[in-house]
Amino acid sequence: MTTKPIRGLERYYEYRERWKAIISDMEKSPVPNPALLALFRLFLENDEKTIDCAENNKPFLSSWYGNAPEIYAAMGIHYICVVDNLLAHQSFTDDLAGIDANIVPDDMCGLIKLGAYAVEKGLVPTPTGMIAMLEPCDAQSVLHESWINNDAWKDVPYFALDPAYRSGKEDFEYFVGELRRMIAFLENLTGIKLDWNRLREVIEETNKQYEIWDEYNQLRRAVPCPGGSFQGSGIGWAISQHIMAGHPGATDLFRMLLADEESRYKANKGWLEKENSRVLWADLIGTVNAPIGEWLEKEHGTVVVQDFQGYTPYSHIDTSTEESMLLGLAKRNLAEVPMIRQARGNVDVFIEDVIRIVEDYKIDCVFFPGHVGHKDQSASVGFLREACRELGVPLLVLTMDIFDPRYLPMDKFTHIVNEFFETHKLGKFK
Amino acid sequence: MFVAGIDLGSATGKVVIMENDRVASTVVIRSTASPEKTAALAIEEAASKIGLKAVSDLEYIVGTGYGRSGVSFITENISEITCHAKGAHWLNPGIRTVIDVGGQDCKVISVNADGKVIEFAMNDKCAAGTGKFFEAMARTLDCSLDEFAALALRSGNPCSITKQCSVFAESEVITLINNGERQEDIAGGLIDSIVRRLLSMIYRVGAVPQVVLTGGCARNMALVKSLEVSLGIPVIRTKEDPQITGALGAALFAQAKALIQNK
Amino acid sequence: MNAQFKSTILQDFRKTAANPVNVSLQEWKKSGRKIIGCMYHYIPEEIITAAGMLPYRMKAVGSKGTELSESCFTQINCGFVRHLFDSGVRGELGFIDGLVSVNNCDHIRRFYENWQKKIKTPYMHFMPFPKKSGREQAEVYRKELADFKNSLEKHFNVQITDTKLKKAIELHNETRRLQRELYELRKKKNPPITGADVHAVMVASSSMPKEKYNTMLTGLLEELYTGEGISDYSERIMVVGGELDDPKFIEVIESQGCLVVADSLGYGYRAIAEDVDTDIEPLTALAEYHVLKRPACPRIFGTTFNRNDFVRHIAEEFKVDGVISVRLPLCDEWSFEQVNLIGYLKKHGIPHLTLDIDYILSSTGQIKTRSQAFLETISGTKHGR
Repeated sequence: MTTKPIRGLERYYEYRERWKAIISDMEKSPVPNPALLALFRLFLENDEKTIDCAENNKPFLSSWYGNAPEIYAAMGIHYICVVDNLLAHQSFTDDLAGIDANIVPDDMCGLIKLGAYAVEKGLVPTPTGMIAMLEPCDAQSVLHESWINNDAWKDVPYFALDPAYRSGKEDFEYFVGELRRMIAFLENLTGIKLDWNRLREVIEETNKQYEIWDEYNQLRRAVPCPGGSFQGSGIGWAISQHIMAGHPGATDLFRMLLADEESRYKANKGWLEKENSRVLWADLIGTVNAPIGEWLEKEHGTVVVQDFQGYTPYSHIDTSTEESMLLGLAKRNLAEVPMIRQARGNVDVFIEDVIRIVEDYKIDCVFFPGHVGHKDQSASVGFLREACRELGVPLLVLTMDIFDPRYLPMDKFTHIVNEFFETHKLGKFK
Repeated sequence: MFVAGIDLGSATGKVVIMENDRVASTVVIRSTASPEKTAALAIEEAASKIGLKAVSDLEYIVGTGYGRSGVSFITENISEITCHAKGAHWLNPGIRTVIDVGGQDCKVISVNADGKVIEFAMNDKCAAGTGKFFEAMARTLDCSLDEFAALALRSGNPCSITKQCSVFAESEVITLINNGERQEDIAGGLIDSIVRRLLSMIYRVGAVPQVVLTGGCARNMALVKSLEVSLGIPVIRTKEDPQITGALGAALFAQAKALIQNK
Repeated sequence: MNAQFKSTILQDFRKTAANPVNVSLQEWKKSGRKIIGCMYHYIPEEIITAAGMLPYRMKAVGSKGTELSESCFTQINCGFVRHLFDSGVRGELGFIDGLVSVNNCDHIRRFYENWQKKIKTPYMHFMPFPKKSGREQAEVYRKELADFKNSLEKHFNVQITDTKLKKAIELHNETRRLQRELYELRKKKNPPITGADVHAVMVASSSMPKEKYNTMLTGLLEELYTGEGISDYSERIMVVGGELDDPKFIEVIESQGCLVVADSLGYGYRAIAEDVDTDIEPLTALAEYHVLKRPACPRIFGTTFNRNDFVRHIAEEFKVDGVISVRLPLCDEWSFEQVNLIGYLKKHGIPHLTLDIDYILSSTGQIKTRSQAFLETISGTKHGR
C-alpha cells in the first residue's frame, strides 16, 4: 500500500539525513566540537519531532520566536518557524534561485521572500494551526497574510498576536490579554489544557538559560574577548527560541558555551592570539555572517564582540502567579527578544542599545548592515550616525540582505571593510 | 495592396511591408535622435527595396514601440506588447509565451490560441536584461555583441554574477577580469544573470509552451540556450528575423485595418 | 474627453490637488486659525475639526527631489516619506502648526521621529494604531484618541466637547456622503467626469476646510447632474492602491483611451465607503470606524479577504472591464497585497494589471505602454483578429 507523500516532508527528510550525516562525521573526528555536536543533535531532534507530527497527525504550529513559545512548550505542542531550516540549509539548496523566480517584489527582505516561497512550493508541512507574529516589521505581518491567502494553508486556523507599540505597564498588560486569548485559541484547537505548573517549570528552565547566557555575555566584555564572533548569538538564539522552549539540553549547551569561554577568560587569554579591534554588528545575524566573522578574525584580528541577536537583556520572570508569568512573558516577547526589541516601537531602544553595547563591550567600531528588510532601521540611520559621533566610534553603513549572501558579495564586502579599516586605523591597520 | 508596420525601438527602427498575406520587405536601421526621422528613413528604405514610393504607396501604417506616438504619418498606434504577440502568433500559431528582449526593456507575454494577449509582465525602469545591458557588458569585455554571444557559448563554467544593475554588474565584471577569470565564463555568467532576471517575469505569467524569444537580443544564441536550460523546455526559432516580430505584428494589424476600411 | 463646465469649481479642485498649498488654506492661516498635519488616513481628523483646526493630509505633490532626506533615510526607504521629508526640510510645509501620525508603516513611524528631531513643528503627537482588527483593539485605540484629544486641548488651550465632536463627525460624514454621490455618477454608462478629475476632487478634500469643500462639491454635483456624459472611451477601469495623491497618474492611464470609473484607494473609495456612527459616544465611534468599520489597508492583518471582496463588489457595481493595481516601490505592505490580489482576481476572471509607480511620477512612457497593452488585451475585438 502506498500512501500519498505528505506535503513538505520530503524537504524535512533531506534535513534529517543531512544532520545525521554531519553528526556521524563529527562523532568520528578525533576532536569533535562538543558544543556544535550538541547543537546539531538538538536540531535533529527538533526536525524529527516535526516529521513525527506531520506523519502521525499530531498537532503542531507554525509560529515565531516572539509569540511566547514557552506556552506551547508547557502545553506540549510542537512548533516550527517556517524559515529556520531554509536559512540553516541555505548553502545546500537552490532556494535563493527559487525566490528570484517568485513573483514577490525583489525589494523585499530575503527571509520574507524565502518564507513565502517555502509555503508556496510546499517545502514545509502544513501545520495544525498558526500563530501570526505581526511585529517588528511590516513584512512580517504581510508574510503571514500571504500564507493565509495560500491555497495549501487557507484552512489552517490562526491567531494573530497584536503587539503594543510602547513598553509601559499598560502595554504589557494589553499583551497579556493577547496571550490569554492565544491560550484560549490553542486549548480550543488542540483540546489540551494549559497546565500552569508545567508553564512554571518551562519558564524556570528558560530563566536559568538566560542567566547563563547573561554570564556568557558579561565575560565578552573582557579585552581580549574570550569568545568568537557571532558565537553565542548564533547558538543561543537558536536553542532558546527556535526549538521547544525550556529544553534542558539547551541549558546544558549554554553551560558548555560558558565553560569554554570561562577557561580562556581565567587564563587571561582571548579568542584570538592578538585582538586588534572589536566590532558591534548592529542587527540580527543572518546567513551572511559566518564567513564575515571568520574573515574579520583571520584578516584583521578583529572580533565581532556583540550583535543584536546576542545582546538581549532577558530579565528574570517571576513565576509566583499566573499573572506574573504572563506579564513576564509579555515583557520578554515584546521588549526583549532580538529585533522586536530594537525595531518594534520607537527609535530610542535601538540607539540606547548601541550606546550601551559600545560602552560596555569597549567597541572600536560599529557595522550597520542596513538590511533591506529593516526599513525602520534604515530610517534610523541619522540617529545612529549622531550616536556614534558622540561616542567617538567610527560607523560603517552598508546596504545588504543579511539572509541573501548574493546581495552584497563577499569580495565587495571585504573591499569596503578594508578601506574603512585603513581609514580609521583599525584591524590589521592598527 | 501594401501596408506597413513600424516598430520604433530605443536602439533600432524596424519596418515590415506586407502585400496581402506576404512579407514583401523588411528593414532594420539604427535609431536616430528623432522617432519621426527614424520612421521616415526606415520606411523609405523598405519601400525602395520593392520599388515603391514610401508613404503614399502604403494603404495603412501602424506604429508601435516607444517612439510610436510622435510620428506624423502613422495612421494608428498599437502597443508593442500586442504587436509582438500578433507577430509571433502569425509566425507560429502554437506559440503561447512570447519573451521579447528589446533595447531598453523586456517583456513576457502570455498568448492564447488566437494570438490575443492574456497577460504580460514588463521589467521596470532599469536596463537589466535588455540590449543596453548586453552592449554595456560587451564594452566592458572589449568585444562586439556577436563575439560576446560566441564567448558565452564556449563557457564551461559560468561565473556567478549577482548584480542585475548594469552599473554594478560592470564593476563586478571588472573584478572578475582582474581575478583572471576566463572571458568565456564571465560572458556565460552575464547571460545566466540576465536569464535569472527574465525568469522572474516568465514565472509571473507562466512559461506555457511553445515559447519564443523575439527582439534584437533573440539573435544571441547563448541567451536562447541558457533560457532553454533554465526553463527545461525548448525555445522556438522563427522563420523571420526575431528582431522584426513587433513590426510584423503592426503590419498585420495594418492589414486588418485596411481591409475594414476598404469594405 | 473632458466634459465642459460652466463654473471654475473643478479647476479649483484640480489646482488644490496639484499643490501642497492652496488659497483656502492660506485664508485659513491668515485668519489666525491652526492647521494640523496628518500622516496617512488612520488619523481621526474629526477631533482636529472639533478643536476648530484644519486637518491637513501631508503630501509632497510637485516635489523636485529627495536630496535633503539623505542624511536620515537610505535608498531602501520609500519615495513618499523621502519627498515629504525633503519638502519639510525646505520649509515648504512650514504652515502646519502640528503633526500627528500613527505607526502606519515602518517608513512612516521613523519619518515621524526624524521630523520631530529636525523640523521644528510646535506640536507633535504620535498614536500607536493596532495591527489587527477586533473589539479589544478598538478599545485600545479609543484610549489613544482620548489622549490625543487631551493633548490638543492642553497644547492649544481649546475645549473639545462631545457636542463639538458630534458636529465635526456630522460634517465629515456629510463630506463622505457627497463624495459617494459623486462616485454614484460614475456608475452611469456615460459618466460626467473623468477618473483623474474625481481623484483631484478627493485629494482636494484633505487640504481645505470641510464646510467650504462641501459647498463647492455640492455645486459641482449640480453641474454634473445636468452636464454631458463622457462617451468617447474604450474600457471602464478600476484603480487599486494606497497613498496616491497625484491625479496625474490616473490621467496617464486615461490618456490611453479608457475611463477610470472606480477605485479602491487611500484617498478614494476606501475613505468614504463607511460613515462614522453618530448614535454612540463620539470617541468610541471614531475608534470603531478606523479599527472595525472602514475598509482596511493591508497594514491591518487578516483583512485581505474583505478587501479583495470589496474590490470585486466595486468592480461589479461599476461595471469595470479591468483592474489596475499600483504599488510604490519598497512598500512591504503592498507587496503581498499585489500577489494576493492577482490570485484572487484570476479566480474571479477579472483582468488585472500591476504597476510599480514612483511617488513623484516620472517615466510615464512605461505606464502608458503597459496601460495601452492591458487595454488592448481586454478590448475584445478592438483590433480585429
